[in-house]
Amino acid sequence: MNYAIEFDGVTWRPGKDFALQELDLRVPRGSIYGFLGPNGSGKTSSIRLMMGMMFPDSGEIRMLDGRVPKELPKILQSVGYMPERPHVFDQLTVDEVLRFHSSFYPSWDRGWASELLERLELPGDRAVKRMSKGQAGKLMMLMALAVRPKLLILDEPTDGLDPVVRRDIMTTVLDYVAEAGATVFVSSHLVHELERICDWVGVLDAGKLVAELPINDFKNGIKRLRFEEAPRMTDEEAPFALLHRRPPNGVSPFETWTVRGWDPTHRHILESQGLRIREVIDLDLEEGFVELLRAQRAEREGR
Amino acid sequence: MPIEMLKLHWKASRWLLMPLMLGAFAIPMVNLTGGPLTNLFVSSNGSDALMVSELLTPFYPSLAALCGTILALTAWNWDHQKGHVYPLSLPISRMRYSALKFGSGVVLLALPTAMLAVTALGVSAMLDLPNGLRTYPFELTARFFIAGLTAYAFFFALASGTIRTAVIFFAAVAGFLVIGDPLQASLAQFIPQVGGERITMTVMELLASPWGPLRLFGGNWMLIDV
Repeated sequence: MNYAIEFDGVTWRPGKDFALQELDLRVPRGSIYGFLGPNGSGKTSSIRLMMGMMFPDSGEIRMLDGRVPKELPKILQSVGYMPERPHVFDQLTVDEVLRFHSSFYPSWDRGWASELLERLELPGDRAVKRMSKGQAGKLMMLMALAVRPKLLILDEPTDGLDPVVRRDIMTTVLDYVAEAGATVFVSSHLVHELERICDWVGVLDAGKLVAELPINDFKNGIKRLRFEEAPRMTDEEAPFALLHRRPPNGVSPFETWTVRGWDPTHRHILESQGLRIREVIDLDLEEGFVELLRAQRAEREGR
Repeated sequence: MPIEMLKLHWKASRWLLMPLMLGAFAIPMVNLTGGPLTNLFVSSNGSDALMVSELLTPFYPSLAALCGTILALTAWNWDHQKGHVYPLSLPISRMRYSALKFGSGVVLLALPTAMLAVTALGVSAMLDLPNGLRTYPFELTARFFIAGLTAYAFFFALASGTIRTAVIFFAAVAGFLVIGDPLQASLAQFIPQVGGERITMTVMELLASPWGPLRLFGGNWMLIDV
């Protein structure tokens, strides 16, 4: 498969408390890849590594067939980047920011930038420091898109924005992707937002990539099973990964398993072993995400 | 790209640079209309004109150093405010970005220099000096620019780093000045070759030597001289 972004065994340790560990990441070309993880899991650090703002201690990063950081200036000409917080010089006006920014990109589409400026209702003569959070977010999006990028890297693009601005921003991105077929790498901890737009998902927790798969596989593969009676099956014997096991309690009289890698054929396998499944419950992405993280943390803590 | 960088640097430094440009205009003018010093330049033997010019000597290197420092600090100030995230996301190498920034500062340093040159030339044309005295507008201007450039280059390098780097640098200099000589004296007790000239004095002499960077800021900075 052809990848827009590849991390091979990337390790980065800025201090004692946190490290990105042996990160192997593959973002297929043309995909909308949601990079999920709780706050402090290393999403922004991973993005800064791929943007060449920091260098890994070991491992290799490739982006759009170029090596990072060696071929970075060439690579970044085809990358639109929207950071977590507005990063432009906020003493400049919108027009000044766009003039400055466009001078670095041969592919800058002046006409489209003007169109977006109008569509996103951004005042050209206003200083960035006098703009609302939503306007600043829209400006970052405009700057990323008017480059006509092959790859869009969005770091928590809608965090802290109101629903109207969120929708404006995500609609603009999706319009562009539909038109240009670009790859989008979008990090967020707002799972439900990514659920609607992504076709791939990577889950990062405490600096480790704990899952990377097409979003449908992720959603379909994580289920909650309710058994009539407690199954006598060990984790190793199960045909799927057992994320969480809850014995009957005051709330539910049934033993409940949260599993990953579920396939409908597994029901027959379990039933052939005498296990009676009462219910197979679909989890949405957010529930699946939470269960996955819970299982990872329990494993880390040796529970 | 260079033009946009120049505009950016101008916007970041203009309110601080404009008074300095005014200074570059005003200082040579004192030779003509120095308030209580008025008419000194028309004295018969020229000694008063010489005296005024000598009085102005410390202002030129101070102004040059100030221009260089202001331009250097404003070159990086906005980048520091945003943690350098924006420039690092641009499709340009760090070296080239720094070179563009440095270049824009050099161009802006030419503004007070040009102001000084125009005024110095104008004052030179207006002065009626007695025999034996002459003006040095070109030499003064060139010296101003080189001194400003030296200050700019030094502070540009220092300001490009973090505050931590700058603190370490100044702490090291202060530490050297405070403990350099006592350390040398202590070492001299065990290693005789370490004795001799005081180390801080030697370093200061080196910096102020004809090849040292401080030499530029000292000496004769007179528009009118023999």
